[in-house]
Amino acid sequence: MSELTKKTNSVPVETAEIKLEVVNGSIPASFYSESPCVIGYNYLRFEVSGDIAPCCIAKHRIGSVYDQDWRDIWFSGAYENFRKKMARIHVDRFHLTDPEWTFCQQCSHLDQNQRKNELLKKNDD
Amino acid sequence: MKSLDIGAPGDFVDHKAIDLLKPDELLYLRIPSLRTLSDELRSLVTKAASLSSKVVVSIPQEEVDDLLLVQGLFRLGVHGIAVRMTHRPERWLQQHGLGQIHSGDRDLIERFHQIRSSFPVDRFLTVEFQVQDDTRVLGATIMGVHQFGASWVVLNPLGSASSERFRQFRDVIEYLKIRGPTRLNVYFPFWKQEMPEWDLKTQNTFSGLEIVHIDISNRCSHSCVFCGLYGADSIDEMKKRSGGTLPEPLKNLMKMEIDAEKCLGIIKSLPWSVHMIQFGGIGDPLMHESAVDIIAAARRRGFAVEVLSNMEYLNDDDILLLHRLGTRNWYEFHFIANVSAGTPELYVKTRPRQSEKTFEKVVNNLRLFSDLRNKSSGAGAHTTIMCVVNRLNCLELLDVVKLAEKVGAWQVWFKPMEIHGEPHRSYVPGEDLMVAMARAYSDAIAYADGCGVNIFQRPICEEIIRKYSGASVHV
Repeated sequence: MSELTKKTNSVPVETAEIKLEVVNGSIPASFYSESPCVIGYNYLRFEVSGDIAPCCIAKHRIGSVYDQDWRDIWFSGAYENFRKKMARIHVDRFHLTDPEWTFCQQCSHLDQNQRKNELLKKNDD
Repeated sequence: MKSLDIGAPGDFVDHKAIDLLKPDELLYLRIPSLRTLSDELRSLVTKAASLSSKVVVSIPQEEVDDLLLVQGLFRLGVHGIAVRMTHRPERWLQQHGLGQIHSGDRDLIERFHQIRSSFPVDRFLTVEFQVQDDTRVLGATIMGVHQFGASWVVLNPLGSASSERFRQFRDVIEYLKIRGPTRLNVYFPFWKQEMPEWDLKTQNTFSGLEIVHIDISNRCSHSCVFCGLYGADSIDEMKKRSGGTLPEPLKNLMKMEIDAEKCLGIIKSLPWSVHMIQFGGIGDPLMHESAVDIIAAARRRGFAVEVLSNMEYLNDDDILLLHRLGTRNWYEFHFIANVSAGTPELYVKTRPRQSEKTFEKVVNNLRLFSDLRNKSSGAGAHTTIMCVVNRLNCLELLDVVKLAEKVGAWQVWFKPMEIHGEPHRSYVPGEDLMVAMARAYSDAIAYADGCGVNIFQRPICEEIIRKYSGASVHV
């Protein structure tokens, strides 16, 4: 399945990049240089094949519900690694250079992510 | 913490555990009934209370009203009581319905409040809950008793400690992590499994699953030009690349659907930290023959549901059934209808393999949802008309709002196609269209404000207007 997914997801994103500043609306263009991505902590996608994706546009698949309970996948080391990686996106900025992660530039949930970050900052205060 | 189940016939009492009790160690003693407490056990309780300053005895709810019994227990030196309160989710749900889930079992909370009011102030009082389905009501009930002074609660498995119970425990904890008070402690004295990750005191609200997306069908009969998979141009290009026919793996992918039983099992297993299930994916979810059952199952468990569809495949009976699962709050249950056009002509232009009849069917379905909502004082499934803004429709956005007004849709979502999944890049509006497009956005928003149609993700539209027209944004 992951092979198939890779094939269908292989549409280039160059065109999308041109207008990112615009489509992000009120979100500053520097968004990912300021805030981590929290998607790994609150979102999960089940595909028809049973594969689990940690983000709606991520190319990564972490396990399948046909092999193990989804809760074990949610608590797994692989999922934790994804969370930790995304939580450092604003520091490491791998989404700008690493082809495996450029999908982040197509994110349509930047505003939600920012709201969540603001909420978490408030809680920390 | 030590916990002992004592007093039932044949129970082995671990005297050694009592002897080794530390002065500040919590001892949790679970007794079937105070009325049948033997002298031997009385002396054991007395001994424990003399060794530790934290001895809590769990008793059935009906005995807490018997003041003599309770005072007798305190005379033994016991420091607190855990009341075993019965929570019956099935009956509760029948009486109160889904809308009350997040207020918890008010009868139980009120009863705890009454007990607390007449309880000695120098003694500790908490609640022992039996964990069972539905864990969503239980979590809210725990938060309710916490408001009335239960600083910690005890969760106990009902029946045997099966893997299903294990999951239910985890569901409750997941919910409390995301919604619960930070200073609430939860104990699992009779659960032998190690659960370090469940320690609420060390977890923050950063770890709760809130939104679940389930793809139930990859099939779609439409040919939206901007779609990277089913778009007419995309299909032609993929065929061309692989010698005239679509590659077999891709054909198989396009036919795939989730197993209905598996999907229902996933919905049943979701913790109640989840507040929304989205049904969407690379195909149209309503192509699945069990789609309505799956959506209904999600709603009946109390999740908010969002369905992204082209809205062609529903019949009137389906719509009536789905309408009944909605509430007055649009967020609870809404359909995002990908229409992306305001007129039949443009609809056919952006979906070359569909006809104006399809447009008519979609419009009728949207209108039926709206009519049913009007007949139910605004309650029912809500509809959002999504317009994936592309090169063909970007100057005709006003028509989309007019269509929304005509069919009584709740809101319009102008979604730039750059962020719509995997777009077919040749349909992204070019720079030459931007100024005119910004004007179209401005007109559409102004009209929507005038006729009461909501605009979803409005800041994105406003940013486009600012960026390309320099005009002030209509408010």
